[in-house]
Amino acid sequence: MPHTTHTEDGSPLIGVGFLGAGPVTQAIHLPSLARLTDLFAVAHVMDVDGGVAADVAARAGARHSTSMEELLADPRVEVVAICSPHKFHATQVIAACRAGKKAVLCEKPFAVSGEEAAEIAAVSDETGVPIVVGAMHTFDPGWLAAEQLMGDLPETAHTLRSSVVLPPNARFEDFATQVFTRPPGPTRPPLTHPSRPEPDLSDLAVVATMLEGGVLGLAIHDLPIVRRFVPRFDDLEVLHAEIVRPFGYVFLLQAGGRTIELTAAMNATWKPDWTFEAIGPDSTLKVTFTPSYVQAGSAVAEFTTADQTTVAGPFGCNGYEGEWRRIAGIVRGTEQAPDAATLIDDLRFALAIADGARAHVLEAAA
Amino acid sequence: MSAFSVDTTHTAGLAEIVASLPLSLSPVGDGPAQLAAVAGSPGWAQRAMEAADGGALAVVVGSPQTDDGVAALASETAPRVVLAWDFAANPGVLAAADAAAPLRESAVLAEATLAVPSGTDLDAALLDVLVAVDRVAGEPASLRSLHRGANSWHLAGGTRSGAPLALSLVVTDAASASLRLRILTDDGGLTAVVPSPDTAAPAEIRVVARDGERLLPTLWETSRRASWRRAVAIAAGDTISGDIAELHRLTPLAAAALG
Repeated sequence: MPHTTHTEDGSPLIGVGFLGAGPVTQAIHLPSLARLTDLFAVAHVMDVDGGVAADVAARAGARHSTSMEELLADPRVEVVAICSPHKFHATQVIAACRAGKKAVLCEKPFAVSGEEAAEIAAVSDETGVPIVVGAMHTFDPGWLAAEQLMGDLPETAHTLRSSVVLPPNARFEDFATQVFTRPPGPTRPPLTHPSRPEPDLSDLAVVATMLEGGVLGLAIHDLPIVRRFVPRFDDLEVLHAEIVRPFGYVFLLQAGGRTIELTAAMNATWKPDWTFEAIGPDSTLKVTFTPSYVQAGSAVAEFTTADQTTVAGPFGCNGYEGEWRRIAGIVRGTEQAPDAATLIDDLRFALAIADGARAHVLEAAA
Repeated sequence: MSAFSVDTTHTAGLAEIVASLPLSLSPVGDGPAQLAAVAGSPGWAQRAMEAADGGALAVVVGSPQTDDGVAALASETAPRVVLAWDFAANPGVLAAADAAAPLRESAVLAEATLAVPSGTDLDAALLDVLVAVDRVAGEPASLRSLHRGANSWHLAGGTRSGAPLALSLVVTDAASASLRLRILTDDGGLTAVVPSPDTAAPAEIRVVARDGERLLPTLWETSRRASWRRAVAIAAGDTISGDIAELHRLTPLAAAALG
C-alpha cells in the first residue's frame, strides 16, 4: 500500500481502520484496497492478537494496536471496517458511530438480534454516521446490472433460488493472499476443520445451531438480494430445513407469496458454484457469482424472456471493490448511504429464517 | 434387418422420428403396425395391453401420465413397453446414470429442478422427474410434498445413502423446458442439464472429481428418438424393457407425494 496521503487531484486519501485482522481483512479487504490506492490508505489495524495486528499493519504501512478504543481515537481513521467475529459487530458499529467516523463498513451480519439492529439504527440516526454492510454481492456490478435488466420480475417472481457450493475458505484465501496465523474458530466451516469433532447430528439442538450458522454465515450473502423479490416477510414460514454434510443446508421457505429455495454445500470440492435465480411467469434471472476472496471480476447476469436472453457482465471488478467504491462516494458526498431501514430489514429477514429454522427443527422433534 | 412398421398418422411427431430412423422404422402400409405408439394420457396401460394383444412387438407410450392400470399390465406385456419420458428417457440421462453410479454412496445432496411451461401436467412431470432421479441418483428412500402452488411444486426426501433429496418443479414460460439433476459428494459430484424433449440438443453432463471436471460426450438425440430406438431393439429381440417395473417400483413414492 502507498504511504502517500493525497490523491492525484489533491483530495486526501480516506483513512481506513480495521477492527479485526483475520483472513477477511487479509484476503478480502487489503487486496481490494490495494486496487484503490487512489482513494484509500490503510491507517490503523487492530486485532486482539498483537502479532497479527503488527504483521497485517506492516503490509499496509499502517499503525497497529490491540485496542478498539485506540483505533477509534486515531484521527487518521475516517472509515472503520469491522471484520471481527459476529458477536462483536453491534458493539463495535455503535462505538465507531459514536466516535464520529465518516462511515462504518461492517461485515455481515452487522448484528445478531433484532434488538441490536434497532439499537444500531438509533445510533446511526442520532450520529448521522452512515453504515455499509459488507454484503458484497449487493455491490457486485453484475448484480447492479441485473437490477437494471429485470423489469417487473421483482413483482412477478414466484420462485427464488440461492445455491452455494464452495470449497473450504482457505483455498481462495490462499489465492488472494498469504494469510498470517490462520485461526481455527467461528470463521471456519464448522465441520471441516480438523480440530473440530464431528457434531452429533442426532442432537436436534446441534442441528438447529448449525442451520442458524448456515443462515448467518453463508446464506446471508445473498439474502438481501432474495429480499429484493419478497414484498413482505412477516408471514415467513420455514417449510423444510435440513443439514448437508459436512457443512451446508437445504431450506424451503414461503414468504410474501414467494417460494424460496436456499441450498449450500461447503466441502472439499475444488469447484465453486454460486448462483441466484428468480423465476417468474414470463421472465427469469440467473446471476452467477465469482467466489469469495479472489479478485476474479463480477458476477454474470442472464435475464431471459420467451424471446431473448440478455447477458450483463462479467465486469472487471467484484462486489468487494464495489462496496469500497461506494464508501468512497459516501465519504466524498457523491453517493447516498444505504438506507438504514433496508439494512435492518435485511438483517431481520435473515434472523427470521434462522429463528424459523430452529423452531422448525425443534418442533419436528416434539 | 428390415424396418419395423409404425402408424405415423395418429401420433404427432412420429413421422419425424421415422425419418430419422429410416433403416429401422417405416410407415405402415397394409396390415397392422409392428410397433405401436400409444398416447400417455390416462388409460395408456389398457391401450398398451390392447396393442400388445393385437400383435405389436413393442409399444411406445408417449409422455406417460399417472394411470391406475399400470399394476394390471400383464407380465408378458410389460417387457415390451417403452415409456417415452420427456426427460428421463433422454440418452444423456442414461449416460449420467452410469457416471453417477460410483457417486451415489458418497452423495451429500441430490437435487432435481424441472422448469416447464404453463399448462404442464405437474403430476405427470413428477413421475418423469422421479424416474430420472431413480436412474441417476438411485431410488429415493423417501419423498414428501412440501408445497404445491399454481407455479411450483417442491418436495423433499432422502437418498438410500441418507443424503437430502430436493425436488422442485417450477412453471415458467420464459425459457424452454429443462431438467437439472445434481448430485454433490464431499469432493465433487455430477450435474446433468437435460433439454426439452423437442430438441436434439444434447444433455450436458459434467462430472467433477479431485482431478478436474469431465464433460461427457454429447448425444445429439431427442428423448423420443432414443425411446423408439429402444423399441426397435425390443422388437428385434435384442433386449427387454424394465420401464414398467421401474414405474411400478416408484409408484408408492409418487403416490405419497401426490397425497
